[in-house]
Amino acid sequence: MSEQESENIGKVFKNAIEEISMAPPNGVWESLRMLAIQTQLARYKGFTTWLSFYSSIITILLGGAIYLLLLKNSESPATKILYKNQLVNIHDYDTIFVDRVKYVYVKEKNDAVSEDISTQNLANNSEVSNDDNHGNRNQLFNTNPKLLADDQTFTLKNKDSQHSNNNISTSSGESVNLINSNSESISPQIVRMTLKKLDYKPVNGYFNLPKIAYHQSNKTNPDITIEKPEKPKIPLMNRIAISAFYSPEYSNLTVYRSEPEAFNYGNEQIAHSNSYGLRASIDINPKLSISTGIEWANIQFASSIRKFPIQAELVNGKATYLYKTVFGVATIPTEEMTTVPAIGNPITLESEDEHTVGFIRLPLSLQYNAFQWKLKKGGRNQRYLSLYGSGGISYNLPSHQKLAVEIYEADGHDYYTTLGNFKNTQSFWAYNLAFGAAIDLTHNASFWIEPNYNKTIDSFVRDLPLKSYIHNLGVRFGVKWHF
Amino acid sequence: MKTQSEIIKRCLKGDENAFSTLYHQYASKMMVVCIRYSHDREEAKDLLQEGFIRVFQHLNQFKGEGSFEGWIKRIIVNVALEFYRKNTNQRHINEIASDYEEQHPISSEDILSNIHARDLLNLVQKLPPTYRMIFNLYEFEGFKHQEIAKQLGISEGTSKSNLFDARKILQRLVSEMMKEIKH
Repeated sequence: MSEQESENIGKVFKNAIEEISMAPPNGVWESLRMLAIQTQLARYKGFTTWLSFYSSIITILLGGAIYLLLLKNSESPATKILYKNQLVNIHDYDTIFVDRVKYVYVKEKNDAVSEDISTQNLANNSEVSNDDNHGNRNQLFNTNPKLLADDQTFTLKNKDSQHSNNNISTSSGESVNLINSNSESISPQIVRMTLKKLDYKPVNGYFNLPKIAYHQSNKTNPDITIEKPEKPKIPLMNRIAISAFYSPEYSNLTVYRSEPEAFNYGNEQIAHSNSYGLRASIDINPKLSISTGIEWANIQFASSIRKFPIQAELVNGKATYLYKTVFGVATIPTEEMTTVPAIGNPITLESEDEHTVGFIRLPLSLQYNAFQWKLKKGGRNQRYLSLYGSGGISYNLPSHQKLAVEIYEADGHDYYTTLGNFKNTQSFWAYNLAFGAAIDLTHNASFWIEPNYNKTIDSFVRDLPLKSYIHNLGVRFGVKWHF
Repeated sequence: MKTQSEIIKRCLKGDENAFSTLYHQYASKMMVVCIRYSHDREEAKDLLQEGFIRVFQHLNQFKGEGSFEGWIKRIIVNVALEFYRKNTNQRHINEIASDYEEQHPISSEDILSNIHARDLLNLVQKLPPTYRMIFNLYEFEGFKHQEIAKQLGISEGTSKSNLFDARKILQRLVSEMMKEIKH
């Protein structure tokens, strides 16, 4: 055999064999399927770990925030009680030196005259300006002398001053001494006066004293009673608000498969989800409000290759084709079939459209307004930015489920149909945690953003060998109207 | 229908249905490859199973460069080479003497028109393991003799002579089959 003939025989084999295909043995996929399931389980395990980590972080953050809020609230009353129950008695001495020039009429004869100047006269004559007094008040507790620009010096001493609330009462019996030289020349003179005689009127704000409520100080004087002002009552209507929102959500599905049969159900993955709804809330107090409403949630599963054989099963004595998903079981309609449904007579189902599931949420939640900032001061249209946290539960009712499929029969006939009669679904509870920010747009309207976490407590399906739970992170964008 | 990249993405997410789709899409073609490298259907089944396990496990290493089918095929061939190396001690390179009598050449048209491709595949299975391996690597995978020698741990000359002998054996088997068909 020549080299050429040898090469030819090789090419003949290559050309003939390369184009053919042969059905693989039956047992191979069954073995590989176990590997696929293991991969799937490993992924679920990884996801569960991630979810636990995420939940821990959220719990720590929320717990920390609540602790700080409680701490802040618990500190405030203690501070008030401290000032409420104590009457501050201050014994203080103050000396003011005032220098000024004084013109004194002196007899032309050289008789030494001891001039007596009354306190009132001196007070009238002393030209201590109010500004100077205010300056002294600033330093009342420091007992520092203040030297005025004038040439004369006043020495004022204040003792046993009782200080409470906004008033300082001064009791001072010091005499005012004027040392006046008998000389004809004009010399600086020192006058000692009390604050009272100088008509001293201290201003509370300068003393850096604790602010004490009026009604508390009145306890020291039982003759004077001031009624506690009543809180203005907000009409019920003004405490009600309604809001509308839309929320894109990132959802995920956790499926617990308790037995091998559960792996015959689908492996749906959520691609998109969103919710929208209406809420009504009522303010319990300025910080706390309760809200409820109605929400519509939609879940769209990721489109996956779904072309697989379905064997007929005996349901109530009748051969039935069932499409099994983690969100319920649908019966495939057989009206358009050209073959007779029978055990061992498989059909092939192909789904290319999105599988959508919808449910209605009935939420009930509490909202706590943690912080509020005034954005625009003064005027009639004051605007606020407020931060709040909320938590609650919701009751979820499955509303619709839809999937368009193409059915291939064994005889080659195929037809399109829509599966909508999914069974084995049930209503379920979920909890919701959120925090958000609201900003006033007008006097009545506000815009709010609310990141939130939602997790189902019950399974979406019942009477199946698996349990399906949905959890999602979303951001609600809403508009609120206050009546 | 969904694209191949979507199937791969779903597989990487652990979607069992995507694994099923991927397997059923390529298993029949890969089965032929496995039969070429094996001496019976049972060995081919083992090759196919091990090959797809590797495909599933290393799916994340497929970068999308080149054809996905070619990537799977390379994995299957590598598995076949591993199988061969494991059993190499039991084999004898020169187990079949090349002293077949000279056969008259048969045209490729005659072969293809008279013999079914599946019968030709069965003829390849009848080759001794080393001949079969060299024939497959050279004719179907496009390996050079140098590469074959490196893979199988033999010399280039041995690879060339074994390939020549493998072709001669196949020609003889084809001639015998043609005679049977004509009779």
